[in-house]
Amino acid sequence: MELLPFFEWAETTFLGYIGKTYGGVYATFGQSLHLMALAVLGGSVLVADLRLLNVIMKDVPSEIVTEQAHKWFRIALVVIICTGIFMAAAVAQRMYHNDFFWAKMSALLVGIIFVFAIKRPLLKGSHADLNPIVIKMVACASILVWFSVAATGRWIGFSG
Amino acid sequence: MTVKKELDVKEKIAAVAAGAIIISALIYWGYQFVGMLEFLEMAYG
Repeated sequence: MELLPFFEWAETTFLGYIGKTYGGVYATFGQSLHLMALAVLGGSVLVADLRLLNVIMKDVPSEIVTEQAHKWFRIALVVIICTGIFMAAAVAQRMYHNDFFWAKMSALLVGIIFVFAIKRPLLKGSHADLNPIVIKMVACASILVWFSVAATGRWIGFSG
Repeated sequence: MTVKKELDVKEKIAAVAAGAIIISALIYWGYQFVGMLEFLEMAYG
């Protein structure tokens, strides 16, 4: 499926026009909120996964930490997607030809599927009933996938 | 935490998915790191 026409169209939309024309709006509502949400998402991922790895907050049950962190994760993810669409619309054709944009989208898709289809269903009950090696593997995979989302996202800004 | 001998289906799926992500991420970032070293060698010898 050829996606270029969609990206060309995205630049002509209202969002694309606003982002391209008003640098201040792009910088504040786009980049700033996007980076702040990324910080919240990264924080919630690290808090939950480092607790699962028994590195931090050992005195708090991991069920409570992961449950609380997931609430903030969901909020941050919604903000990231909304501001990301706004930012990408302004430079859609450049994004289409950028390898790191596609790497980030792939990592983001894998991360979302992993969290909502695998990690959450696994961690919903008592963690004492789960194999600790599996819990640690899930925590490591989660850190790696969200690190990849953040790193490839920042890489977009420093490439072609 | 007690170590169980048998993993249930959810745990098996999680273990396979997590393993696949860990291996893929290591290959991807390893490839990027080698690419960076080659680039630096080309630029600075």
